[in-house]
Amino acid sequence: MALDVHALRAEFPSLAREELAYLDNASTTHKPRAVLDAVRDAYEHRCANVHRGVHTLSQAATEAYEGARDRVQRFIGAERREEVILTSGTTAALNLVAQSYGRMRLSPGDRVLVSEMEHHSNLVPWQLVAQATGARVDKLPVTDEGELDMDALDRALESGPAIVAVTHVSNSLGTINDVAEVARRAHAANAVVVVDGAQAVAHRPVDVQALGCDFYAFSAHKMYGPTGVGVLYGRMDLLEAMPPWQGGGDMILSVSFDGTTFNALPYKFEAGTPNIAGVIGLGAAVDWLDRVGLEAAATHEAALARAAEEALSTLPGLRIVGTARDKAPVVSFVLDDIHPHDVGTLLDGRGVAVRTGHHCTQPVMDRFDIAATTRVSFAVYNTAHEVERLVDGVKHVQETFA
Amino acid sequence: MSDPTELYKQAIVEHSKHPRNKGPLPEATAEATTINPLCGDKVTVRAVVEDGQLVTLRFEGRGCAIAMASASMMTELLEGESIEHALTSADRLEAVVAGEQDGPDDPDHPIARLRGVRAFPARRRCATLAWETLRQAVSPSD
Repeated sequence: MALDVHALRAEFPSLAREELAYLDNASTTHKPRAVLDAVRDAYEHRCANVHRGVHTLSQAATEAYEGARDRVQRFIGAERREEVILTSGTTAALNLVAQSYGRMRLSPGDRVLVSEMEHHSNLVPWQLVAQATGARVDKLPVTDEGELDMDALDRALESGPAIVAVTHVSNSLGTINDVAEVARRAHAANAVVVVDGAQAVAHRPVDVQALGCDFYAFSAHKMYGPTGVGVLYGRMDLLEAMPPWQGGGDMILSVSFDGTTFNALPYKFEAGTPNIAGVIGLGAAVDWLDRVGLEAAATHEAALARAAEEALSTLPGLRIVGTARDKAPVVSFVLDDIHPHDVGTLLDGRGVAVRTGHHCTQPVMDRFDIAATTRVSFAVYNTAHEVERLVDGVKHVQETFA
Repeated sequence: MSDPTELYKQAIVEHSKHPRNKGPLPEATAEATTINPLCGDKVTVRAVVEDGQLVTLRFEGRGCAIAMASASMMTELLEGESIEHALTSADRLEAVVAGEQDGPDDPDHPIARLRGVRAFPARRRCATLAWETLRQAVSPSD
């Protein structure tokens, strides 16, 4: 069933400004009223700490908070709710895996295989833990189309990496990686697979068990939820074996100066008062996406991305970067002799918001021998008219520099 | 939002397409390189300094049109001038771009032509990059 985009769009107060074509959704999406209301409601009607008080308000807060965890569990197909760790975002989730699992698993000489298209947040944490443990980080290369080089994966797996870190969807190229196949091959070589799902969850149904990954990280704010909230999914047996990362309240059972007994999962990894209202907002975002339907959203977004690619490709001197067969609604491009930042500023002058720069993926920029791109990324509320405005805007940029 | 098209047309495009004083300077006696970590833009400024004067001034780099045009205009303005004057001009450019002062009345003065960048806070550093680099190149080091 086709989406009624204009009805959907009306649910976003921040998109009421008609002149704004917001095409920077891979950075963060706007938030529907249902999410804003849930966050507001959490503060207005459930303002209490979770897992602590015996009083009514604290129980209401705890129920809403834990209810969000249940929604997330179902949303990503996790087998158990204990496998859903609530964090402050994808970056915190990936650092948690690196600092807890990585430090436990890695010894001097061990290898971590990281794809060349990773966001810095799925590369730098591995470099940090490699430095601390004496392990080394190897590069899994990317092809000219911007896909993972699967032959290189097979060769790299022969050297027996302990961990393979790969993104589900590239934030700068749009490539959708065949994570299930990566996991199958990596598991055959006894490697653990860590997936950055930040760019995937808003655009296609994700089932962590079908993917077969060991860890899967994502953020609420890229799927219509609040900033400052994220999720780490981890396989139960791995999470149980892992030491806590951060210490504090909520992650302990008992504490004395002789020692501390840690709490059970998932709380072992949730030290300190969490972003309660934000987590409740994430639950509302999951409900909202369920109502919209990810399949319908994906169809709509793919049509916009295809239209944008086709129209942009006809412009002289424009080159699309990232031409994988399977792509998320992300279009990255460069123009001959015009720097992306100038493109971004001139588009902004016409009310078209895009991202310009290296997108926190400098290695893949180096791979394509460019410093930066202009990146257009779509969400469910974008329209064909906005694609036209984008294309007209890029023409205007070229005329300005003519 | 304000439209940057006029800024680009009046000042940026021409200098970025036809940069002045861009290239190597093997006989340089002062040199510095700055990278803008936000965007990876890189500017190198080299000078031949004699008796406190910038006898020759060159730049090289890669980056956006604002950064390149600003570097080009800077070398055109300051070649042949004293270091003291160059440092004062760098301070003035930064203050104008930051919106702290209006700068020269002459609309064709390079600092006046870059004034419009103040409307785009995310791009201010692009305009000041070359001037910062010049300051580093000619400031006495410890």
